[in-house]
Amino acid sequence: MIMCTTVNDDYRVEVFSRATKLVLVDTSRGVIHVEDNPALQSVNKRPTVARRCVELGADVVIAPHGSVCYPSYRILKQHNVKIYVTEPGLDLSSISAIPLSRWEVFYSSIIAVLERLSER
Amino acid sequence: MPTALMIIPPIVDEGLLKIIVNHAERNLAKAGFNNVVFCGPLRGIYGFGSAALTVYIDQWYSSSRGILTRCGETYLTPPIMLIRGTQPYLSPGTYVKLLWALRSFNRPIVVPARGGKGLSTPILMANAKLFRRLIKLNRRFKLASAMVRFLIENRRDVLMVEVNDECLGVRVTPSACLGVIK
Repeated sequence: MIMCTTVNDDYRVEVFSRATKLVLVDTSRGVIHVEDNPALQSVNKRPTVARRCVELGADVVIAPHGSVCYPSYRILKQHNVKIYVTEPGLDLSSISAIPLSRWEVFYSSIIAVLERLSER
Repeated sequence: MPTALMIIPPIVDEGLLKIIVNHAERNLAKAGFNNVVFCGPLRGIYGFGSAALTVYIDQWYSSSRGILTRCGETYLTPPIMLIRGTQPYLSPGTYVKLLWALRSFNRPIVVPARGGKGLSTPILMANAKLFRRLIKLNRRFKLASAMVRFLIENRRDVLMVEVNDECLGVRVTPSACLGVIK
């Protein structure tokens, strides 16, 4: 199974909009792909990560709490990618997650709006 | 990459529930299950996260009929091992033996046996198609009954593997196999 998520420099999961790297993890082989987080260069941060995960062919997206806003949810749902939510700061080698809920999408959308407003 | 799905029964004692989740998660990860899914009334009790990906689906249910439909929505990569959480105390060696049997012999369903008698949990299935058949049965019958019926319906495909696990078939009771775990 190929998981897509975002991490900071010490490979702990971090929110899509703040992480420095985007990684693909094969659960049986470990990390198989690392690249700079495309969201850092983009205006639409969370959807950019979602789109890139789809492009890279992920089966599952591990979204740190506060990462999946409604547009990114739509992108992942359209491409039939399963979404799980985890706590930011967890080590990449063993991830505990829960399925995505409506509240998580709502919460992430609010956070995304607030982040945009604070950037202006 | 094998997946394990454990259906947790309603357990009132939170301490016991935590022990069961931690024990099962550690043993399944040790046995080589990279993807472990716990589904049932977990009430926010999560384990150590020993497997590469552990998913906790907090799902309340009053009857186990149809529970697989709700729990099976998660991403499960075959082979899939379905474990009833009412008998959760198996050792990593037992899980390893079942996986070995599935890979070594040409049978798509593997169950443990004791004294020549097969047990209905855990069931290891080689592909998702078999798991979907089981989900279908669970829509009509309670989980334990659906698992037994599934094995009867597919008896030609079932391989029984003799295992020497003292906690095989032991139900969730504080006295039973808890001593072994502690």
